[in-house]
Amino acid sequence: MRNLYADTVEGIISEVEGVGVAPSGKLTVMIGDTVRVTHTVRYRGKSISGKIHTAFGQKDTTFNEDGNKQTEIPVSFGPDSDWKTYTIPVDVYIGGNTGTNYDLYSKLMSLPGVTDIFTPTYLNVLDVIGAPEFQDFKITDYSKA
Amino acid sequence: MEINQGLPPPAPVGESTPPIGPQGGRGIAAIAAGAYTDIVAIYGPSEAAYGDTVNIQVAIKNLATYAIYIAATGRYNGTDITLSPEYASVPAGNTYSFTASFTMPNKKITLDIWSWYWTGSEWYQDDHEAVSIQLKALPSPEFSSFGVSDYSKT
Repeated sequence: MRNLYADTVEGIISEVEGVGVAPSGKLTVMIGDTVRVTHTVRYRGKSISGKIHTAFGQKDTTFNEDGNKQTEIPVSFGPDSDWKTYTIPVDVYIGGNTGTNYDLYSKLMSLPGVTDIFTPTYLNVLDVIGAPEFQDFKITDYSKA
Repeated sequence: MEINQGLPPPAPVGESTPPIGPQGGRGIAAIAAGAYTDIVAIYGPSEAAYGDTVNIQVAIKNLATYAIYIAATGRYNGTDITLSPEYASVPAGNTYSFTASFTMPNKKITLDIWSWYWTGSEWYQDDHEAVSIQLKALPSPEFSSFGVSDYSKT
């Protein structure tokens, strides 16, 4: 489990710059694994529905999503007259190619009357290795022990 | 015992115990206090937002000169609500509070409350009061603190 919230000044600066606080350790998974990304958000207002989009990829000037490592699911909020914290788990199937230093971000989208809302970008949070592979499995010799 | 012509008198506590609280419909609303019970107050919010939990408390006074069983029922916009406890033994002149909670619908409501007393063979509807709860407008959708709190391999 990695807590991406920081209670440090560094964390606050990162949020301002649009980059989230990286976890203390990087997650390493294999192709075919599923990564559960848990979000929290505070909401108040009328009943509203939209989608949450979560993607791994590489951030440079923009965030280049890996189309095989992303998920989009419906979400609903409210009605809440006061602020309420929602926890939203999103399971992301890890397909496509292997790679290192994947970045992560999510956005709330397709909410009527609300512009898309983005998490900070979390840098270098994921390495993806290939599935276990075996080659040349055979008996090379047999003899009396 | 008091004399209220045309009304069944309540049974004294200990003489007959009600098996359950009042069930089913209500008659014509009474005006002012009932014959043996008086809904002296209905405590609750004057307005609530859609989806809010509305907590109410109903104070009912025993007008009889002896202890009787009293119960309360309620309804808003055609929806029955259950008050707790189901009924109570209330000494003469005392006031007892019943409570209930419900979810505010997406419109203004009129909450009707009825008081009942046990006659020894049935529940008799006695007093009635009604209050309005306005629908509080919800704020425009607002989000804050959106972030990833954790990620892990499943």
